[in-house]
Amino acid sequence: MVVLRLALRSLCSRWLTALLTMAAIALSVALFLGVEKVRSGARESFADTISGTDLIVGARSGDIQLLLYSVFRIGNATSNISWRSYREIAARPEVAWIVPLSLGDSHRGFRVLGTDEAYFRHYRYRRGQGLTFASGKPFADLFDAVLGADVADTLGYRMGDPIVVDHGIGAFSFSKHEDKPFRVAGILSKTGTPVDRSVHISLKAIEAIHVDWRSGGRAPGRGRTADEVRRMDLTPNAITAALIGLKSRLAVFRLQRFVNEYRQEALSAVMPGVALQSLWHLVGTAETALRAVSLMVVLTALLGMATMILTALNERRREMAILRSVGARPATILGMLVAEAGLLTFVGVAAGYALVQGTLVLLRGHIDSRFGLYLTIDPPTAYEIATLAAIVAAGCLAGLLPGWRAYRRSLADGMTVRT
Amino acid sequence: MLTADMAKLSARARDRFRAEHIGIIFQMFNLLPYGTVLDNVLLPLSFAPSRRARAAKRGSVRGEARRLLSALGLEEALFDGPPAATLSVGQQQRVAAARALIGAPEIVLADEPTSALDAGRQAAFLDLLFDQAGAAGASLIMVSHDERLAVQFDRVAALADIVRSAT
Repeated sequence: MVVLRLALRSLCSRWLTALLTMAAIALSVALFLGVEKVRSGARESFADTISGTDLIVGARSGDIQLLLYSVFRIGNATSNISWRSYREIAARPEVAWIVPLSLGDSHRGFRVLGTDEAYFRHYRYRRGQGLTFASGKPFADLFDAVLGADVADTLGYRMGDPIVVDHGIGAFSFSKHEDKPFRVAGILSKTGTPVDRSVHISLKAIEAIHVDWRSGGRAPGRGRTADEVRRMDLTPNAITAALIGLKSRLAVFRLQRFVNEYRQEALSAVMPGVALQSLWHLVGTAETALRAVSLMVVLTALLGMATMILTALNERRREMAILRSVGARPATILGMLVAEAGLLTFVGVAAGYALVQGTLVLLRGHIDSRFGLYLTIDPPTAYEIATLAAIVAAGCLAGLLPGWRAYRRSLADGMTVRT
Repeated sequence: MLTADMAKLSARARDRFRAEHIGIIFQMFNLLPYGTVLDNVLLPLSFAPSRRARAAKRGSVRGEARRLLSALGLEEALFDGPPAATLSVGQQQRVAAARALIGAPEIVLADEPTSALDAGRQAAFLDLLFDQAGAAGASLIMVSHDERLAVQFDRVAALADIVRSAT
């Protein structure tokens, strides 16, 4: 007991280096756990974003690209699907429901999605949950907009507020559709998916605001007013993509082949699960690299600790010799140093874990709204526990190095005072 | 104990033997600087179970440590207080003596324990040391340059007589 207390006191007498060492370990462990958390959080967020959709149809492009722009609102479509093709696919007997998506405009940095009422009925996320309205209802009027939860939250919109859609995407747009303002008709409940960061308007409204526009700019001359536009035929020429639900999942390959071999237009249909798998495959290497780097940082911190104990050993020669002189065996000294390393690592690991959890509690909301990454606070997973235990074990192992040196030193060493 | 040949013991057994049977007072005392007085005195008992058992005979080992320290003339207030490094030389010396005597080892080795003291205090400290060594039933072996101290000992040997390889 006395030996343990003295070992602790010895550590306390070197509190500054001990504290810095523990801080280094804590930060490295926090980095490692943070990377893990973000990695699994991103995977879950992605996997949870779309549920119950059997096929996504868009212009011919890579599976991942189609998935990214249609569901995650990342990137842009290379080309569109004509309205005629859309109607033809919608009329196929396998199709239970189809939701058109039209992208390309934005509102103060948030994407504007043109769709129809089917979207609110059929879009499913996180194991089949449907969209619900926090207030209001789907668009009834041509110039009605339904906001995602984050859009309303960030920009402070309430029901009935007017909003103006920007042409093109980007936080700052120079051309605006200010002649045809929208009215907030509904606000969706929080979903933790890109839906939260979308402004939904009807397909017809997308047509309506682009009536006088030609190839990215406003056509010269007098623009038509909102009332004039209302009387026009606003059937769209093209849409960006469509989500499809099937009557029977068995038909999925048949419809996929139909779309992929569609003659009039180059289209492709992807299964969301399959596209996600290829996405994981793509980012898997980066994930592994990230994990390797964070493990290296942990290793560096442990080496730093070994160095710190080794350096202190010189100042502690007298302490060791005194312990030996009162009867401590070399093995006791070895054990003491290994225990010191183990204790430092354990406290460091615990502090690192607490740091990550604390950061999560504090910044979770911010990360969610800023990056759309919904991170959960869970008890540690078996993988995390195993890794943390391995780090503590590695810390003890790192203590063996200075421990071995002290062990080798003879009893007489350090006994005479040279200070 | 006297029949054991230390040179024949294993390193491990030698460590144990030394811890159990020999208390050492160093010239420079060699206290652990950050430990309290009591921690320093109790330290040898961690490595010597039979010394611990002997020290515990009159109650607790802490009680025995307190008794020894008081008998050696150290103020009660210092026992559990400041780290040993902050004590004066005289105080450290008493702590070192208590550490060597606790648990009544058969032999107490003292390496010039009085060299840091003036003549008057030397005598007083030696008296205390003799009293406590006597009470513990320990033989006191002391190394010193000061031949005036020799009269108080039963046997005196000059270093030149016992070191065979002395030149």
